[in-house]
Amino acid sequence: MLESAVLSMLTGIRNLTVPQVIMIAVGLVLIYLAAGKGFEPLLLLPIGFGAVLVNIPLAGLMDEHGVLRVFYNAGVANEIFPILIFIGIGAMIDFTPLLENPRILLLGAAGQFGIFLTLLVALALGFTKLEATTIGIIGAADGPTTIYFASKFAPHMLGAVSVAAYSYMSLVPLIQPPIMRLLTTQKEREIMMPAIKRTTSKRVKILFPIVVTLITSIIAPLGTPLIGMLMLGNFMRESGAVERLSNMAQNELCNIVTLLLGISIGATMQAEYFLRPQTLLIFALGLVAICLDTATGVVFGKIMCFATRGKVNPLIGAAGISAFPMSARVVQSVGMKANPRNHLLMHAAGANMGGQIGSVMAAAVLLSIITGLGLS
Amino acid sequence: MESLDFGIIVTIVGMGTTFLTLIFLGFVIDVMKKLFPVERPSVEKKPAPLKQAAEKSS
Repeated sequence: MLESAVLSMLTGIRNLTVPQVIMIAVGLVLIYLAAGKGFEPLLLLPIGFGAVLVNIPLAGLMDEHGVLRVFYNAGVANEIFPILIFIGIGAMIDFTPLLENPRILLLGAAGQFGIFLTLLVALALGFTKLEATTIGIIGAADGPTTIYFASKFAPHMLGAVSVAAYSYMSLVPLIQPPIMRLLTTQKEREIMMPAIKRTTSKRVKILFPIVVTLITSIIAPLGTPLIGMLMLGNFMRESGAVERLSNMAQNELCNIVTLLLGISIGATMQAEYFLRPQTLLIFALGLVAICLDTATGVVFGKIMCFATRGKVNPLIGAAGISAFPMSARVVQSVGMKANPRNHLLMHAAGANMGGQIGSVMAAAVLLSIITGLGLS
Repeated sequence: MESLDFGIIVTIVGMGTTFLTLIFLGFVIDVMKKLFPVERPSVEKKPAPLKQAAEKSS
């Protein structure tokens, strides 16, 4: 009697496998990076905790009626959580620096090359078309878009792709500066750009989200959930008519969904699905994607510098990705190291916003192509 | 080989569409800024100098 009672209490330990121990350790590392080092804590912390919880034997959190399965089915499997987060992001962004200099949108387009080049590399390495597209989208440096894609096209890769995307976004201050310095000369980094003039009226700011929604959605209709929600959030902010909703989207909505999204992603990191050689490849390709984005952005910045006879500092091209506002801060920091009087922040922020729109646009186009080819 | 063809087509169409859309968007923003320029604060009429006002009242 006593023996069987003790044995039943030890069931968890007896069922613990080595892969589960490894995954619990991975979860703890993510928690440490988030809480101890401040790397994307809002997402990496719940992801890490979810990874720990889901690998505890016999807890059944991802069984049919397990609590994490309920969260997963409620918002990740049907792609609702990333879309809701887009409303919050839209409500947080002030697109003024982009509107002041619309040509900077081109840098946001150039920063998306990494998506497609990584897709090519992934295909060459033997990933299926849908898997390669999902890996390539890490190059968007846009968490919600990556999660949206993975849950739609490659749910078995959701954990690895999401963790890779958020990890590299948090490592942007380490990844980008060496590439920026490698591709530019000291003279180019010293180029000073004039302060941005206030030339955008309130009406333009209010019309902007509507115009973006109409143009991009008509060109790539399948991306409408992404761009539409982003711009809905921005319209709520700029119109000033629904201040309560705008505040709610920026705070309560974004916070609650971020928590549920993070823990649901962590729940996909079960040892039997995560501990595969494929996961390491995904992490490597994710790094390639972010590096290529940065490199192509800077190269395009150099082209703009040449075309404008030295009026554009090529460094701002590195901000043409969606990692907002971290990437813009990195550009400011590298620019100031080259020339302490060089203030590139607002220009880089404009490129960063272009990257936000560019990444969603590239994702929308990919969605349309994949669906058009009958792959999904 | 088929996969690589797919990748190349997606890259050309994807990047091409992204660039063209953002170029068009930039053009539309320029047009909007011309149609709805920044509202300048209206110039208020200067109040009459104190001396003139005093003369008028006398």
